[in-house]
Amino acid sequence: MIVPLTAYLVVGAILFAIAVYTVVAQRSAVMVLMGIELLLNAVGLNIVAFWRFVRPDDYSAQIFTIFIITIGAVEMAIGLGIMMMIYRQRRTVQVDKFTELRG
Amino acid sequence: MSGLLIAVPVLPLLAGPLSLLFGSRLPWRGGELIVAATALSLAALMLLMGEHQVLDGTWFESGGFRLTVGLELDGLTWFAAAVVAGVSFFVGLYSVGYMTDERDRPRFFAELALFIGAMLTLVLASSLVLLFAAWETVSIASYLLIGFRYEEEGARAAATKAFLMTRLGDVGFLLGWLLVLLVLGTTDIRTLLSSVEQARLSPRMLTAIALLMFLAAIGKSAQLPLTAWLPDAMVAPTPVSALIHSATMVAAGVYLLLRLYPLFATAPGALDAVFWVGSATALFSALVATGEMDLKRVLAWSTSSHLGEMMLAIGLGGPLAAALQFATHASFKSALFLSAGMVDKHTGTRDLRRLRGLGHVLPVTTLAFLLGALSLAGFQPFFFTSSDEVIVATALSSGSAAAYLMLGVIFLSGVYIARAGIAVFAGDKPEAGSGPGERNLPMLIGMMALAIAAALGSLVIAAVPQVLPFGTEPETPWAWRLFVILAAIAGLAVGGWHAWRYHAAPAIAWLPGAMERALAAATAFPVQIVFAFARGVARLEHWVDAIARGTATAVWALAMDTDRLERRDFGAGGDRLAQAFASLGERLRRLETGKLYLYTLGLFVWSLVVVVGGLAFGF
Repeated sequence: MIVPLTAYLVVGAILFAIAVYTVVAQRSAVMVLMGIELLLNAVGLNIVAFWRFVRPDDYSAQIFTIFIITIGAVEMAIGLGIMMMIYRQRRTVQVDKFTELRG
Repeated sequence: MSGLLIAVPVLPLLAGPLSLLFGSRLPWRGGELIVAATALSLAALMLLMGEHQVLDGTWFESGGFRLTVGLELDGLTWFAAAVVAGVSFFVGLYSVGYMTDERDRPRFFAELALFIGAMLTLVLASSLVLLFAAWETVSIASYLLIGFRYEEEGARAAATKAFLMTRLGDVGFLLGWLLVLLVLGTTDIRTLLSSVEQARLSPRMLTAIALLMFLAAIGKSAQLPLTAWLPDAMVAPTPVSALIHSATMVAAGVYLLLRLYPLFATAPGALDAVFWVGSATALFSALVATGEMDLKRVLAWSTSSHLGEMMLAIGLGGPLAAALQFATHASFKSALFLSAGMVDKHTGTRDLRRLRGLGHVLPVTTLAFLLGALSLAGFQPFFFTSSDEVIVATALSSGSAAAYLMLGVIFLSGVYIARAGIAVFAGDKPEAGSGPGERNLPMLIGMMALAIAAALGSLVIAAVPQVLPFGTEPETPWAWRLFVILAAIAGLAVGGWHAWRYHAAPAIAWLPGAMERALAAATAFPVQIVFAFARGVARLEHWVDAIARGTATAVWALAMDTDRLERRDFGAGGDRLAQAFASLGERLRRLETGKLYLYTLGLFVWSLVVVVGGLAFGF
């Protein structure tokens, strides 16, 4: 059985929507970071799907995807590092509390 | 030894400011400074006798022009400087006594010192430009001293008249030395004279320079037609008249001709002009002097006449005779002036009609006047040659007409001096005068010293020819010596008899007075023109000033308007703009809530809008 392209795209879109919701609605910084990771993965799923069904002989999409995964790992490391520092200082990771730079 | 030479003019010049600064604290109010400075100058000159020194410096060079300043000591300049310093010393001594009752004595002595220093610079200068500067400085000093009693009637007018009329001649001097500079590229007098000797200048150029220089001499030495300022200058204090307006400054014109004599000797046309102007002045002024009613004015006209005699001698090619007359005249005329000052001091008037019999009251003054008058008339003790005789001898060398003219002038000299002397000193003893008499020692010393110098003028004549670079004096024939003495005796007799009989009435009818008035009218005319011109310039200047003032006011008003605009309109506009920005910023800052979800939501919405918009419009 061959899963059609549309199914991948629908799954990607659902993932993206969940991720957007997570980034916007979650109050915890850790959850926001997870939403961002989910955004990346949704996009990565889309790219892989398009490669597989549109240009299976062009490997640049795979390379791109590996880049995205790498960037996501790095981003997570940095983001969690920042969160650890903030937590140590403030004893909280609720993003609504961080309003010092408000205009 | 060059320091000595510099000290000669510099000492009096230094004494002037010192007198202004400290004079009011000194017992003689600065007079002692003048006496000391002139005495030192005189001593320095005596030490320098017979030496030849040149101190030259370049003032500046520009293009091909080289302006030098410096002092030169040779026979002629030493001689003139010695005369100036000697007369200055004795007159300075006299003025210490004369000015006792005056206010403002430090100023007087400072001005006198300025004059003496400038005059010594003038005679010693080695460069035309320095000579000219000194020439102008003595003019200023003369102006200041004539106007010394500036609150007195006529003093200011006389000062201005003297200044303006000598200025007319000074223009000639200025043009003259500029011409020399143009032709030779230097103002050095020795260079000028040596290039004259080497005939490097064209005859026309020589004549032009000589005539311009002679114009200066006319103004300074009160020759026709610029004579009238000299009698008016007699409002000055008497020592000033003695020093400046008889012995030294007015003789500067003659001195200039002597200094540049080699130049004149090569310009026969200029020499002719000198002769004619000189002889006309000698005769005219002597005539006017016989009719004057003011003792000092008689002497002033007599000064003008004697300067005319010197000019006449130079015009005839006899610089030696002129130089001798310069020296003897300086002594006898200042002696006469100083005795006139005594008379003035004692009686309070110089009017011949109101003076008489002063011989009983002022014996020493009478003696000084007598010595001076005899010297003036051409008498010398022991029948030494008088300077008048030397002039006559010079005149004889170029025909006897000029010699007869000289005899006439000598006769007239006798007439006016005898008239003045007899009218003032002879006659009955006056009613008890209230004057100070002859108790003032400095005045007596100064006066008598000069009178004795006048009486011994013949010794000067015997000694001087070796000093001066003008050769030896011509031999006077015995017959002519006799003529001279006879003319003098006749003049003295006529004048004396006339004064004895008619007191102060004009000795030769009404003619002299009329002549004086005519000359005064004629010479007042150019002065009036100058005044009118000056007034015109002043009015023009007033207009220009008004225009400038109007412009300034307009600019100021414009500036004030701009300022108001700036403050009220631009400034307010700027404020309002800034406020608008500020309130905009206030409104904008409400967008910055600090809520992360709003930011991210905005980001996504914006991306959605861009993507959907892009798709919808087909980008």
